[in-house]
Amino acid sequence: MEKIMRRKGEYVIPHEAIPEVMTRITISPEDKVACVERTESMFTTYWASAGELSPFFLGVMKMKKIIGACCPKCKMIICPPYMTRCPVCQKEDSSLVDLEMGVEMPQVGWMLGTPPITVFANARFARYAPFGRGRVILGESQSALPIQVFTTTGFLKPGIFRRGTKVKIVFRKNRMGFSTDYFAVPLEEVPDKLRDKPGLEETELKWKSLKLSTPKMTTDYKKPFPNILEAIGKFVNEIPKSPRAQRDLMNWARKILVKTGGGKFGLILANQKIRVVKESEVGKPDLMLVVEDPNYLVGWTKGDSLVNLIRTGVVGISNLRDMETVFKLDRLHRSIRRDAEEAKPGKK
Amino acid sequence: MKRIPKRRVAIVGAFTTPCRGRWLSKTIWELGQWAVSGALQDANLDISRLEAGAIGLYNDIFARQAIPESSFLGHMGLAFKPLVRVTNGGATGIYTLMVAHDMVASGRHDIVLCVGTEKATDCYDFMSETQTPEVVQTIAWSWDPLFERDQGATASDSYAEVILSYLDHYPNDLKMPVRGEILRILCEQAKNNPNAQRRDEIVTAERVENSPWIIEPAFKKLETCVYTEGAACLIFAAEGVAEEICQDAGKPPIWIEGLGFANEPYWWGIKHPHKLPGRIESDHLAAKAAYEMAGVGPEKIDVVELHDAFLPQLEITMAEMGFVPLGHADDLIEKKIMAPHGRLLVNPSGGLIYGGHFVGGSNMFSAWSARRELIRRNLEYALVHGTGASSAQYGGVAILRREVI
Repeated sequence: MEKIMRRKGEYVIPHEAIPEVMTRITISPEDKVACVERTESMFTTYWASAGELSPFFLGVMKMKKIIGACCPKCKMIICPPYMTRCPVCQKEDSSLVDLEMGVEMPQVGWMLGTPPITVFANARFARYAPFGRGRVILGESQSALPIQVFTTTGFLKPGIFRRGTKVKIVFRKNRMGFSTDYFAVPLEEVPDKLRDKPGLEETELKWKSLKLSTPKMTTDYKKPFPNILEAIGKFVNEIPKSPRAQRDLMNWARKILVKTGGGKFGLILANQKIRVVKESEVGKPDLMLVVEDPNYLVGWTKGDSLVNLIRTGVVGISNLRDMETVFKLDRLHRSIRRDAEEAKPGKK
Repeated sequence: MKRIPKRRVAIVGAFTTPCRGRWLSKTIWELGQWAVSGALQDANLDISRLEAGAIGLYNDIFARQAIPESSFLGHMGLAFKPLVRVTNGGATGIYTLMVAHDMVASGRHDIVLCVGTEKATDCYDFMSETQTPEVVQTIAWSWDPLFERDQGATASDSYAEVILSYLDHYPNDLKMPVRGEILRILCEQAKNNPNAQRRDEIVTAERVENSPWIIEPAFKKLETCVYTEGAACLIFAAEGVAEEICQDAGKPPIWIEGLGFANEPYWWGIKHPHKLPGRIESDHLAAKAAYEMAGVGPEKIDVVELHDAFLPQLEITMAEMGFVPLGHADDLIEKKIMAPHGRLLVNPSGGLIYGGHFVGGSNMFSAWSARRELIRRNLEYALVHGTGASSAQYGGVAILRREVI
C-alpha cells in the first residue's frame, strides 16, 4: 500500500453540516397539530475502490495522461473507459469482446454541448464556483468525458463554452484520483506554445482576475455615499445579535477593500464580526470589490445577491477563487432576518 | 411491433392526497395509507378484494429507511400478500404503473394496488438552514460517483444539459414568450385541481421573463418543478372484474390501452450506443411503443399529463412524442395546438411545476388527473408520461381510454 494522500482538515462530511442531537416541537401551520421533530442522519462512509477503472485515475495522477479504451473488432473508442467489454460486439463463444484498455487520448478536444454553469454551489462545491460542467470528445472517442470547465479570463459566463468549442485538458497540481484532478479551458485561452503540450498543469496558465479599474467619482454617487456607508454599518452591526450570521462568518477572516463611484471603504471580517473601516485601515487587502454605483450595496443590505451582481458584471472582484467569501456575505441578510423573526414576541 | 397483453386492464379507482411542500403533520406511512383508503372509497371496493400491489418509492434517503417498502405492506391492507417496490429515478411512478398493469394483464392477479408516495422535505441542510440544498444533494447522489459527481453535478444539471444541447441544435426554438405563455396556462389550470400545491399563485409571461435564472439559458426559477410531499393510489382490475366494480362505483372504467418504456444509456456521446445530445430519445421510443400498443397516434389524444420537471423539457418531450416537430416545439402555442388556444389539453393538473411532484407517485398523480379529465369532460384518450434519472434517461408512456358502460 502506498502512502495515503489527504487534504488535511477537509472532511467528506463538513463538520458544520452535522447537527447536534436535538428535538423540537413544531406546530404544523396548516393543521395546527403539535409535531415532534428530531435530528437524524443516514450516512455511510467508504474507502471506494475504482476497481478496473483505476488505470484511468492512475494515468491522471502519475502521468498526467487521459486514457480510453478501444474495441478491436468494431474500433469503437470510448473515453472515459467506463467498461471493459464492448456491449455491441461478440466473440465466437458469445461472450462480449474485451476492450483494449490504456489507449492514450489527445488532450485537445471539443465540447459535445453547451455546459450548464453552476454559480450558487452547495457547500461541497463552493470552492469551485462559478464552474461549468460539461462533456468533451477527445480524438476518435465516441463517448464524452465528463469534465469541469473554467475560463482563465474572469467570471464564467454563458457563451464562452458552446457545442464544438475546442478545449484543452489541464491537470491540477495536486492530483488525488478524483474526476476533479483535470478540467478544461477554451483552447483559444491557452498560449500557442502550450497548446500541444501534454500534461499541462494549472499553474502554467495565467489566471486573470477581472480588470478592476477605479470607478469614476461623480457627484451623484458622492452625495449619498455617507448615508450608504451608514446603512452598511447598521447592517453589519446586526451580526453580533444574530447567532446564524455569526456562524456564517465562523473561522473566516478577510480584509476587503470596496471601491465605489462615491468613495472607498474597507470591510474587516474577523472574530465572527464585520467592521466598516476607512480605506487606510485595510492595509493590503485580501479581496477587492469594485462597484460604480454604491446604491447597489444598500441593495445587498436588503437581501440582494452580490453573486448575482458579480455574475452580471455590476460588481467586479479581484479574486474569483474567493467566491466563498462572497457566498458568506450573501448569507448574512437571511441569517439576520431569521434570527430577528424568531426573536419577536410570540415566536419560539 | 404491437404487443397485445393477455388481458385488458382498467383503472377502477384513484385518489391523490393534497400536494404540500411539507406535510409536517403526516408521516410517509400515513400519506400512503391515506391514498389507499381514498382509492378504495373511490372504487367502492372492500379491502379484502385486493390481491397484490406495487409501490413506487423513489429513494431510501428521502424515506430515511433502507428497504422502506417493508413498512407499507401492512398499512396498505396487503398483509400476507405480494407487494413489489419499484424505484426508477424520476420515472418511478410510471414504471410502478407498468409493474401493476403487468401483474393484472399477465393473469396473475385480478385486482391490484398501484401506489406512490414521497416525503422529501424532512431533509434539512443545517448550514443554510433550509431544506433545498439537502433535497437537491440527495438527488445529486444519482450521478456517477467516479467520473461525474465530484465535479459538482447537480439535480438541475440532469435537464439543463438536455435543454442546452437541444438549444445547440435548435437555437430558434423554446422562446421565452412561448415558455411564459405555457407557464401561465399551467398555473391557471392548477386552480382547477383541488390538490395542486401552487393553486394560489398567479404567473404571467412577464413574471416568468423577470424570474431569475437557475441555469442560464436553460431555465428560470418559475420554470422548475416543486418538491412535494404526498401520495397517490390507483386500483387496477382485469377485464371482466373491472366492469363489475365500475358498475357498483358508478364510474366508467379507464382502460390502459397502451404502455411503452425506454431507457437511454448513461454515457453521452456522438453515436449509439451512447446518449445523443439534443434529444430525449427515451420519450420518443416510449411514446412510439405505447401508440403501437394502443393502435392510435398523437392526433387521437385529448389530454396529456406530462412529467414537466422543467418547462423547456415539457416542450421537448411534446416534440419527441410527436405532437409537434423537433425544432418547432413552440408550435404548441404559435400554431394553437395547446388548449385553451387549441384542442389539446396539456397538464390540466398544473403538472409537476404547479400541481406537485412527489417523485414516487407523481405519475400516478398525473394518471389520477387524466382519468378525472376523461370522465369530467367526456373525452376519449389521455396520455400519461413519466421521465427521470440522470440526463432524463428514463421514459415511460401510458395511453388511457375512457369507455362508457
